[in-house]
Amino acid sequence: MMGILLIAFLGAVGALVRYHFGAFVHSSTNRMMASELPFPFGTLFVNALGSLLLGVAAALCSASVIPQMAYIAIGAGFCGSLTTFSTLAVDLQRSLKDRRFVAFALLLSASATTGLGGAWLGLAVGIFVR
Amino acid sequence: MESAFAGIAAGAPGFPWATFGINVVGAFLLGWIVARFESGAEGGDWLRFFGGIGFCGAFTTFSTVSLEMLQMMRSREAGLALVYFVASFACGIAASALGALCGMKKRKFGV
Repeated sequence: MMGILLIAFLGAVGALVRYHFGAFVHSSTNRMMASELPFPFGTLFVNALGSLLLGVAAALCSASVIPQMAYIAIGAGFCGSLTTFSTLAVDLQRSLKDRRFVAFALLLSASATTGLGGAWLGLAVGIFVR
Repeated sequence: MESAFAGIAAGAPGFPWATFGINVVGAFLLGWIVARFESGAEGGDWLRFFGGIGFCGAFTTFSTVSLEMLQMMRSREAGLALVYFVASFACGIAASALGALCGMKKRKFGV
């Protein structure tokens, strides 16, 4: 019961961080780059950040530095909610529909590299810290 | 679900059907919501906000996909990681398109 409450609470925090911090990154990056067509930098950023955090938590959990419950609450609750797949899928689908193939390829490859890179870096940091 | 999630830290092998299914369903739902309530429809802001940003955003996950793929690569199953990546995005994009199609039909006929 305690675990479910913890996941729900951290999930709510993660969603709020994604919404506010993601919107901030999105608008400031697009303004900085003076881009005509907004690129979803916010989604890209929160996804990379969440992957990094999950990597750290997974490394700490498998070394028994943090209890499994804390890993699940952080991983499934916070990181699961902070990162999103649905927004990415809809953005990719729309760029295909609008025939913006460069944006499609950029978003897909950037997501894969920052996600994998984030998780890898997170694991490395977690292994280093423990 | 919890034990499945705990297994990711240890590097459990196999195709992550749970994450895959959740992400595809969430992509369909968000595609539907975005298409159905695109132009300030009645109650659209509410549904977009809670259903789209809140529910779909939190329901689906990208961090778990990243870590699962990384663990597959670490346990020398790069092929499975590639299959998982392609399947997730191909099905997610198709589900979003299908959702958008359903949403636009509903809007058109005013149901």
